[in-house]
Amino acid sequence: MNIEPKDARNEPAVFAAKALAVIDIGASSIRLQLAELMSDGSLIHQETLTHAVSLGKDSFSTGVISRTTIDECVRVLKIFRRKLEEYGLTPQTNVRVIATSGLREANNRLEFQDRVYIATGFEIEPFDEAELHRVTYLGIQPYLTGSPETFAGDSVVSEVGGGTTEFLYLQQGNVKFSRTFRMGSLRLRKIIDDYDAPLAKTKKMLTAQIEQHIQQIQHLIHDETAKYVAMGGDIRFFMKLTKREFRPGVLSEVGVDTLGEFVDQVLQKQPEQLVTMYRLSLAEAQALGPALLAHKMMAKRFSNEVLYVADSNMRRSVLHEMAGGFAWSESIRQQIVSSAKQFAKKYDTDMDHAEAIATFALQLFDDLREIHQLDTRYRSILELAALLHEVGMYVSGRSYHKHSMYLIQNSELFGVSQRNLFLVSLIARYHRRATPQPTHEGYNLLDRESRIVVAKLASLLRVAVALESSRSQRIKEITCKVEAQQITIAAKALGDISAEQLEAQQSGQMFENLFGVELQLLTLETENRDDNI
Amino acid sequence: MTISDRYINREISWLGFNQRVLDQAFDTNNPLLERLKFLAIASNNLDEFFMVRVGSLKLAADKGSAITDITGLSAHEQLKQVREKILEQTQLIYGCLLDELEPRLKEHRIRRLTAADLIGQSQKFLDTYFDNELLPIVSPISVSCANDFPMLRGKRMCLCVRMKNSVATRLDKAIVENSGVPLADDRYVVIPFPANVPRIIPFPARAGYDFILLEDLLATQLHKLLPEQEILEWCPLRVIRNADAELDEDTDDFMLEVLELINLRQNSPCVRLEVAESASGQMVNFLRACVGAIEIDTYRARGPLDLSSFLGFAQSLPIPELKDTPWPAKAVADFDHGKDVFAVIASGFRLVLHPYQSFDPIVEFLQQAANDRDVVAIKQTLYRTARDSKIVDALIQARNNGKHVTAVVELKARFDEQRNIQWARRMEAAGVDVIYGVSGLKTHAKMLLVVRREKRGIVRYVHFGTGNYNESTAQLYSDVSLFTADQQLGLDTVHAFNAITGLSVPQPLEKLALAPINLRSTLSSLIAVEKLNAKNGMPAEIVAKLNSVVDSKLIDELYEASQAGVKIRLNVRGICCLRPGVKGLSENISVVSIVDRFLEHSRILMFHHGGERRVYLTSADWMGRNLDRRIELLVPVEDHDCRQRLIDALETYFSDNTHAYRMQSDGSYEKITARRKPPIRSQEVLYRAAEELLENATEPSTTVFRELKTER
Repeated sequence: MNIEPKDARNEPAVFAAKALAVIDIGASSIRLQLAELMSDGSLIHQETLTHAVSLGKDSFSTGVISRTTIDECVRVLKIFRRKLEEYGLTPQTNVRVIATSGLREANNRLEFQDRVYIATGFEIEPFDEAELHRVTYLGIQPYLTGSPETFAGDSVVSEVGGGTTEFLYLQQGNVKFSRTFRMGSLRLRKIIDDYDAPLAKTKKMLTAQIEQHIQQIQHLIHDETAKYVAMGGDIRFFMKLTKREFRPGVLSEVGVDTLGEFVDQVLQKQPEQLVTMYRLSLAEAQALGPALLAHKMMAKRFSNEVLYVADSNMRRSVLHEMAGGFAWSESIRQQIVSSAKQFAKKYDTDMDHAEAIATFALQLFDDLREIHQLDTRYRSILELAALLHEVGMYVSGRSYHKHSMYLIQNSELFGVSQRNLFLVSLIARYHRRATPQPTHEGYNLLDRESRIVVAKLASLLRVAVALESSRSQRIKEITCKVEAQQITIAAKALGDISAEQLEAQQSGQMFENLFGVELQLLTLETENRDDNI
Repeated sequence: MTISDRYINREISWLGFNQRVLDQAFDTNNPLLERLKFLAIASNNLDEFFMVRVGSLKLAADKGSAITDITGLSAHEQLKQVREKILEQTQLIYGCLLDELEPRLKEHRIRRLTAADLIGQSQKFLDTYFDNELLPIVSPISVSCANDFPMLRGKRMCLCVRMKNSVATRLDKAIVENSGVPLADDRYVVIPFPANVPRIIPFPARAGYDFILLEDLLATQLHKLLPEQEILEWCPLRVIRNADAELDEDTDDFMLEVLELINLRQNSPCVRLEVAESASGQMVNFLRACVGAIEIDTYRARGPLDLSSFLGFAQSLPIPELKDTPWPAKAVADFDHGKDVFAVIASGFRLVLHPYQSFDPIVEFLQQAANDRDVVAIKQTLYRTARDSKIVDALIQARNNGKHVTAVVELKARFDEQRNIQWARRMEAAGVDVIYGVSGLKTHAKMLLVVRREKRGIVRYVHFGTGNYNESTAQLYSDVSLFTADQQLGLDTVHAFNAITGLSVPQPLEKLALAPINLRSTLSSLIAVEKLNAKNGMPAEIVAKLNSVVDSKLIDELYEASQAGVKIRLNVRGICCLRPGVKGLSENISVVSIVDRFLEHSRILMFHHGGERRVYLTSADWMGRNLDRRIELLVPVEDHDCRQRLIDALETYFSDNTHAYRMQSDGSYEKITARRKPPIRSQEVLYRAAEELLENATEPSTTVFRELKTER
């Protein structure tokens, strides 16, 4: 049984044990992973259920998920729903249903989602690339400390899926960049099938295809001796088949040539033969050869002799996030923030200013939880908005908040989903001038919950910006005092803060209107402490 | 070395087992009625052997199949050997009954009265019994040839009567007279025994237990059934047709070919025709022609046919001095009614050895689960279960209480299909999810899972067994039960259920091994470890208690291990195709078989494993069908105390010198004798240990096996 260490940032839970579930609608299978979150914050993995489906095969070949496949998926999800009942779960509580490229690329994905919702009550979240990157990075978290030597220099983490390959480039364990390639095991298999290639030619054709993708990555990487870390079901299968054991938190190693020999054997067999040889589903058997060949070739290119394998999967990582109340873990947050800072710098942002505002914003968020009552997961959204709110200045000082909005929307921040990026952009847009209006483009697309989130966070950001209105980092520290009708912010500052006070009075209006309280900014002399405050 | 020197033919080995059962009937140390019981069992075993094995062999031989068994024998050659043995055993059986048992039974005033004995006896009883009980339901069928011979169900007894054919006695007198066709010599009538009428009928006697067999009673009343006929002779008969045999994947070597054949043939030929020895040549020839039996398939019995009826009879007679001292199952204190079984199991592994210890803990566990507020789901496999099973009732009760209940039911459990369908329907009607297993694979694993949502989260309570969830057989079969709340075993069990019930493709299991997925490979690697250790000069040993060892791959692995120096001790109750003690092949392997009061059924394995001494329970025999074509389990017993208790039990079995036989390298068995040592009867030692456990129940649970003096 796999017990993951508790996340220190978790707040103590009042319940003894809470069931959580993730359903992953992948290209070749639908999987359910159940877990229990214990009162001490540890996560205990429970049952895993798997069913083979041909979602990816449909999507990648015709662009449409067939009626038969939809029916099969619905049947499987109904089985899963019954299993959830045993854990006291319903499709709406503590269950996430995520879908990857198999669904994302289907033209009838909405029809699929609706059908599933009507038949089973499950709401599917299509996972976008940024989220996959975040989850992939989350998957290697335990290994950063468990196998530090692998990540000491440059390293490449890659997961070859059915439709796409996730690719992270790390330096000292930090994300340098992340990419998603439309190179997937089932897509590769389809190419062979389309050409009706004989077994003897299979490897040659696959090699040529994979090579094209590797070249795309290669020019981005200068140091070609990165350690290669592979993830995914296919490579895990290979490791288990060859009796290589996984120890928690430690990467397993295997020689590239050893893998190469196995790949050659696999590619000389028809998938149907592999099904009986290894007790695989047909989809798994079809994916095995191409996926392992891709790993082998990438490993050969980057790592040369050895490749490392991480025993982690997306579902467990997502459960981990759910266990943390959907908030990003500290290490993920750091990666995202660092990616946001890179982006901000690209647009000549005054980083001292932006970081100061971010610090205030976070403190306001923490100190005023009682007032705003937002989940911890929005804390990082606010932080990103604070860091990025001025990127629009690069375009023009006029209405720069609007420029910030579209720049953020079109950025590629590591690990931030499109939905969250959209929230960040709107919060940045509303950090000055007009408050949100139903007529505003973008804002009017949000659901009620998100509209409230944007308004609350924008109002907090306005206060934070006001505290830095002189752009001089004059205010060093603040403390907040919450009373029934009034919130007092006491600032330790170097010198006079009347400009900030004036700005706070004006920018604080949105906050005051939203929460129905009065906001007051006081100065707290550094030398003469005023014990009244 | 040829392959016939490497292995023993499984049919011959099985017949050897039946011989050991028969030995019990001859053994004067056994009480008289117990001997009669063993005789009935041996005879019944032979019937089933005909239905399941001889039928398949015969079909394969008729088809001229080129497939051979692991010893290289063709079906034809096997049949020849099998028939010789069967004839030999049949003679022994009747010798035992007529020359040994019946004279002694007579001394105790237990007498079988034949039709001849009844002449001049109290006709009043016979008349009344016949008129009231039999006349309304007995229907004689006139037969002239194979075409109008009735299709008789398997093992059904009947009486055939030969009568003089004369115009005067015919109802169709007028037609016959006018047709001018000369009459055949004799006429025949077949009287099938009605179902639900006892075969053995107690005859009112002034003292003692006189009884009469149905065929003899009918014979005295033929004048009523066939009035005005001139009866020349009558003779009981029994036919076993191949189509009667429940042919499933049990037929290892010829399976596929035979199955195909069976499906094609609606009316397969008779496998065995049994008639009384007294039957005339004319009668036998007529019957053979009618049922299509060749000479070698015709068996002439010296005494009554179908001795299986004597089993119930022997048990029903209220004469304790002619029976074994009863060993009633001992209660298991931990599971006493009213105790919280969940708390008991959560506090540690619990091992129960049946039938020395009671089956009640399982029922108690299930009943508490059915009525426990926190239980959310119950999943169980059911292979064979008792007639009015409390197990089935508890599952239905659980469903009524809103639990998710899943029963994996094996309908094809041989000879029990009809009963299984009945209770499966009952559960379905109550809303239990009844799953009929994985297509093509019998579910033979015995596991019961209770999922409970407790404050500390989901807790799974599991029962693993080597025996069926059947209260009746649990009193007669030696089996092992293991209760646990171990997290990983629980998770593995739920994954096994998910796979069997189609909720998921099989997931990797950490502790359990499941056939047909990884049970065979797990066994192979355990054997390989011993082999490697032996080669490196480390101690290496395999001890296994099983019902059958047939699979040639596994046998080969054991041979290799033996050659590497692994000490292998096998306790195999039934078929063993492995040749022990052959120089250069298996000199480190010894095989022992125990046949005693209880049917040895538990399957326990122990591997030395570099001193770790890994112990397993398993539902699987070492046969191809169990390892590759059934759902079976291999369960590690990691708890120190339970493991030790099982190792002690294994050692007890190997120390038996009153009911144990040592297999010789030629496949024969020699009874182990105590010689000058004190006699050790393993089943009694285990029974006394269970007794002691109960007595010590108030003290901390440490189990000590003492050697005890046996009864004799």
